[in-house]
Amino acid sequence: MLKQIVTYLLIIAGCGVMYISTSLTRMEEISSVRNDSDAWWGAHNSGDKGDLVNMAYLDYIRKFHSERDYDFHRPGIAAENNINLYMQGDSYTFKIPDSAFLGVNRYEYAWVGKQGLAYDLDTNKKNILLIARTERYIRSYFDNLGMLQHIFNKTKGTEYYKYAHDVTEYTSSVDNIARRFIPGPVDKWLNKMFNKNINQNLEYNLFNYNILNAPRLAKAWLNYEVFSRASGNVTIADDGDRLFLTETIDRNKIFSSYSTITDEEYNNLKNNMNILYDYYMGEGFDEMYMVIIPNPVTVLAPGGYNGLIPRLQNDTELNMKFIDVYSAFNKSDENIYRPGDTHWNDNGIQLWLHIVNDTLQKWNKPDADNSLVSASAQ
Amino acid sequence: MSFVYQYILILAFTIIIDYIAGILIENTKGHTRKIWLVASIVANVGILAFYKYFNFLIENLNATLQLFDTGKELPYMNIILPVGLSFHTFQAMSYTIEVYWNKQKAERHFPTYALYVMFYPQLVAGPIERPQNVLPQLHEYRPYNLSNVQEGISRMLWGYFKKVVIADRLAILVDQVYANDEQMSSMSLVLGAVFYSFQIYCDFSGYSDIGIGAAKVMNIRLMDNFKQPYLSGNIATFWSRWHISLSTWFRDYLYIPLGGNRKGEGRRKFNVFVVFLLSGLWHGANWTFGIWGFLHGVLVVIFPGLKKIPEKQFARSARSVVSVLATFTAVTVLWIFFRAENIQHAFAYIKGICSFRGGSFDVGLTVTEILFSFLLIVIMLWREYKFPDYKVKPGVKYVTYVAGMILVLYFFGVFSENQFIYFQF
Repeated sequence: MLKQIVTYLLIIAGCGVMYISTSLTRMEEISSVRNDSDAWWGAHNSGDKGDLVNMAYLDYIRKFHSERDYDFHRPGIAAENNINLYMQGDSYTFKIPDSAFLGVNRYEYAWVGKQGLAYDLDTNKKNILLIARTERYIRSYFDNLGMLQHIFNKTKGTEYYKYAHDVTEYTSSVDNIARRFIPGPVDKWLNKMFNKNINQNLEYNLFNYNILNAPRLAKAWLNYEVFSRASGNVTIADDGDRLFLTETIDRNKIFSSYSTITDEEYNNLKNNMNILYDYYMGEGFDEMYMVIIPNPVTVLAPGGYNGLIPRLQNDTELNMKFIDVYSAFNKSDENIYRPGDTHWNDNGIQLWLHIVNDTLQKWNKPDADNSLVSASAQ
Repeated sequence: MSFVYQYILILAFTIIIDYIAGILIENTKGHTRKIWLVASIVANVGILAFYKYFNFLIENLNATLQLFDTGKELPYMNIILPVGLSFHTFQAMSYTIEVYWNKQKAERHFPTYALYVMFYPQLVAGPIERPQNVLPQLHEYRPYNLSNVQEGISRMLWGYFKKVVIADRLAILVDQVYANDEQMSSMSLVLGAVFYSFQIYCDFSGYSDIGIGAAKVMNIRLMDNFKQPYLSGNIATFWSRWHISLSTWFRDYLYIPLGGNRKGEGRRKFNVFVVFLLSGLWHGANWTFGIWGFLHGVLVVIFPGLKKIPEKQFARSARSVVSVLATFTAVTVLWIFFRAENIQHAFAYIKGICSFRGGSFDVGLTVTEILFSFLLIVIMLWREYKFPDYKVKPGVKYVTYVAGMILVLYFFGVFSENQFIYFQF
């Protein structure tokens, strides 16, 4: 009897963990509580020492620590506030307040993958769409036209999704043949079930508890002190003074600054970028900009770099306009990135804001000539 | 290699086709039986060929078109290889062939047949089972058996040890060396090649141990897939101990039907070459695999006389030690073709070794960890030679073993995102 009860409890617990691990909403709810808790059931949290420090459990190595302290301030006073800025960004840019932008009348921000960016264009203003993404996601992001599902016209509603679906289906492969046999809701559920984060979600739900920190820290110590390696998806830089996200240096990953980009893949990226650009310009945006934030390794260890950013930025067949922070980051004498984190420090974000604001101001000039603005932004 | 849920439909399709084909083969006579067998094989091989070899074919056709300077290029298709396709396709084919040969009765109970193909411990990377071994077990009542559970867990832990403690540790060095081979010193390249030999063994045999162990826990016995292949005295022996389920599959369903050694020495050699070439290409749509298989075939044909060395003698005599080392060296050199991105890469790697050049020793592991890796390899070889089975007496000894292994796995395991190498096939 007891055996049966234990068995059923285990089955129920297993199903519960599976359900939570496959649900984006439940994962966000649970992690928001567990990440901030010091209780035994809380998740390991190194505080603001750095996300890589946290992943590698290297809390005790001080040289990797750095506070994520951004000093946002008003960049000045613009001649006009003529810009409605719609920005889709990620963890690099979500903290930027609207006050950090110059001459912006309205600022709408969405974190890709978490929120949709809805626009309703004001024809009396200059409507600018800005895509700000870190380099490691560019290849997967523009691999298809999925972006259409994240940036959408408020008034068009579902019509837009239909377009996105048609285009995506048209451009993808024979694998979609199988999908035709699966009813829509089942397809949606199964895709959710087998989402790309399921492994890390399961690991988080099954093993990431403060009560298990001691052996994890001991293992991190063993790896670091004996084998000079970091645990988790983290790699120690050659000079030993900073950490890198392993997937950004692994030549087998598309997130990597070092992995080869075939012409076939590059042309697909380019084609999708042009389709998206034409689509959003057709929707009435005055301009669509792309700003790629270089991976830390791209700037700090450029030997063997695959050259994705300069290749895209200098491609004359691309309609998309680029705001070039790559060159500025490379030229900068200051440290741009935090040593134990995947993100930039205050120097990085200020330099980025300076360049972006500089580009945007051209739209605040009365009777701005769009073609000149576009060309100068390259 | 990927898991796309829609691909379950492919699995479902082959299961239904072979289930029906099995019954039709059994129910019919004469020429019709053959038609159903051929239909089943065409369906299986067709799916495998499409998903695995379509773009390979296009690539070769395009290369040919380029050779004649036609200026034309055939388009590629965006095809993702379903995980484990080669394994379950071969397992399904073995069923219909055995039914055709009247060595196996057609399975009437559809869920049992589906379970035979989809039995999860060996679904994605083998062992490629035979219906005579698995189907009767699936029909029997297999009650909980503590001794089998313990043996199964013991074997699974050993498999995990080989995968996460040894293979994934060696992978750090191997990946670094192969990715930067042009800058590497000859010594680093040799180390990369030797470590790859053990990486692939620990990775693949580790998976087999986990699969066989998991099945054992459920009281299902699967065939062994490895028997200390690196202690073989020649290449033929190596192949009787490496990926046994695939070697015997090719022997039973290709080599023997082609005539085996019954049609003269010339035909035997031809059959050996065909089997090894196809066995190589089975691993992947790349000529590196073809060359790897072909060269193994060459070695098997050239050195047939050294095949039989008694086990007891081999461990004791110096001749045996030399044979083992020579075989290991040959296998290691041929693994370079298996691991390389393409044929040019493989030759550049071998040239790098032969040049005795200096260069980078930045191999991704520290000297301490390299020495530690060697120690792990020695422990692994010794344990498998000395204690080839996985039976551990229940009681304190067993609990200590399990607890000790879990601690070792946790503290010395390299938990990276490395998949099992054979998942891609």
